[in-house]
Amino acid sequence: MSLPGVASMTARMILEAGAVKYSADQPFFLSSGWASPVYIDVQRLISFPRIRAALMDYASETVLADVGFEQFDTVAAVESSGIAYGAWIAERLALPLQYVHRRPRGFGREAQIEGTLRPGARVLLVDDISTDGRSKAELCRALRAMEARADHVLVMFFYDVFPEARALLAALPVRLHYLATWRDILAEAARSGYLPAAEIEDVQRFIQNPGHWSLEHGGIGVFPRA
Amino acid sequence: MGPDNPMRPVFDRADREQAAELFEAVRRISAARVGVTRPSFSEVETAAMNVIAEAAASAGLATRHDAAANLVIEMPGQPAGKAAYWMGSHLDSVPEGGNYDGLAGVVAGLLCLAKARRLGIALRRPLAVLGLRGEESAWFGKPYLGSYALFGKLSPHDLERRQRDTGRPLAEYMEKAGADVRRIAAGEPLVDAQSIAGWLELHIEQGPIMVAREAPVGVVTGIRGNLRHLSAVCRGAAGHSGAVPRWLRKDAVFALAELLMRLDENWQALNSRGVDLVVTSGIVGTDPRQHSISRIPGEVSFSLEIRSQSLETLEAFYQLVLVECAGIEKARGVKFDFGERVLSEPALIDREWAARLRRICGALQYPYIDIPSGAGHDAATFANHGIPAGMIFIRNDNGSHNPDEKMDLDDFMMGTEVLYQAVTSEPEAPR
Repeated sequence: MSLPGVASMTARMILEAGAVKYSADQPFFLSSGWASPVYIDVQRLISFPRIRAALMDYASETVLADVGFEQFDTVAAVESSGIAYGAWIAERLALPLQYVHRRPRGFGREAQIEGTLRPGARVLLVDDISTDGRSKAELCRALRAMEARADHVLVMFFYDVFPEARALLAALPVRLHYLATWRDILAEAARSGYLPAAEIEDVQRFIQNPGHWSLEHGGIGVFPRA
Repeated sequence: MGPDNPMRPVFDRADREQAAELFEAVRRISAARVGVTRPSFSEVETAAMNVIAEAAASAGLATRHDAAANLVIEMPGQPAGKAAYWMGSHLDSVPEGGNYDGLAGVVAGLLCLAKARRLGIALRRPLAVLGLRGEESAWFGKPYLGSYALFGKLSPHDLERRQRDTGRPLAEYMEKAGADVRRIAAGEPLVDAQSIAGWLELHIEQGPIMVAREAPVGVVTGIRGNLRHLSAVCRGAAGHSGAVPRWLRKDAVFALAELLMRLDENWQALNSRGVDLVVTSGIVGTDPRQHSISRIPGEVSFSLEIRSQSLETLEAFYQLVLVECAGIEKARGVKFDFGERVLSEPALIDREWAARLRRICGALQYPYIDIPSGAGHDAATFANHGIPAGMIFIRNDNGSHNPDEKMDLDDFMMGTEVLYQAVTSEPEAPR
């Protein structure tokens, strides 16, 4: 991302909050079925006031620098996982807030949203994390079906290991903004000695070929069709 | 022993052909519509046992049946008084299952014993092969019946379990197969655990991992246990589907659906935190004599199965099930009645066996992987009775408990080779 120092500082905060765990013997399973040697709990950061304040500053500045100061009409937070972050960012950017359900509740234009969303509104969709991009793509499509302009997604952390994720979002098209990826975490973990070298190597194998690592450890091996 | 001085395989083309013939002979007598069906303690299971026993006899081995009607194959003239290594697996199958599930382990054991006799090698310990009955829970709602009976672990209540198709009790099937039902009902151990120095079971892998990792042989590191309710019921109140508003309903099916979705959410959260767990509700149904499209279902019956390598996880998740049920009962005016709870404990694989199997794979230069067993096996019964147990998995495509399981005979012979070396050529384990 464009702002210098943000990625490594975000990685430092994530590690300091103890939000990363490693286990190859009993892998972690993401909801989409990927087996992974590492687990990250970005929600955990909301309990650390100094970390979350710095994180929200980085997030707001990143969006302003990447997109512009007057480019959004509202912040839409993803149900449960994105609400705290979305609310803090809406406050910093002085924008309205609503949150989006992962699936519609009932029917009608606003069945998937709490709060109010004007047709034509330029939305910044906010969540804690993006793994393979599928649920973000799904939510952007839903927002567009509500006649909103959903061209930007902001997450605190992006896996950036599944090549298909970028293609999926680019095809919509949607731009993904994020503060750090697994590469940043690994660089920081190696620098600080947070993980031993052998574990870092194993995670690197996962990052280089997540499908292969996942399949080897009982998870899915190919990117599921949208 | 290292790569410079590899172990020499003992099995040859003729052994491979004999294995193929045995598999085919058993398949022929148990062929069903699309797969094979060898019900627990049935005549088909007995017939399969006889095919194996005849092959053993013609290889000059001694055969007998133990008091639970399992097949026992032994080398004649073995020294008594020394604890033995036991090999083997089960001979029954699920309905319309695959031919190799269980049978592979019995055939492998038989090949090992026959080879040891033909070569006339000096054995460090007596060897025996077991063809166990009744491992599959599909028939009487409880697994490991043959090995449980050996250790006096079946209760009189278990002996009253009904066969899924005929409704006749297990005791009747056991009696017909020649088991000593009186001793089994009394919970009397039929073997002396001290006389068994180790249990080694070769089995096909029943998941997709070895195919994915291109390993013909697997060294098992642990066995998942399970907690089951075979016949649970959720009861609400029946009513007219058009006339009763949502807030007055006590819809049993919606309540069960909510329970399953809540369990799924918890399950997903636990998996993402690296907890080993699988959950299945394999039987769900409203009564066909009563159900109708215009009737709010007042009752739905279902099964619930929780599997994990950790007993703690099983119990913790079970508590969670009860808590979720209490919440749903309150919100929806229904009542969950779980009926009998059946626990099969997870089992630890003996570290010495696992290490020995790895050394042998290395010496034979066979590619292998370490792998936990998702499915349950008789090995768990032996392990939980303090007998050092080991398991060798054989790569198998298309999963198991279905007719499409696909084991390559070359992989099977590699696993059999490892089994043979493990019981004959390695130095004594400390027991």
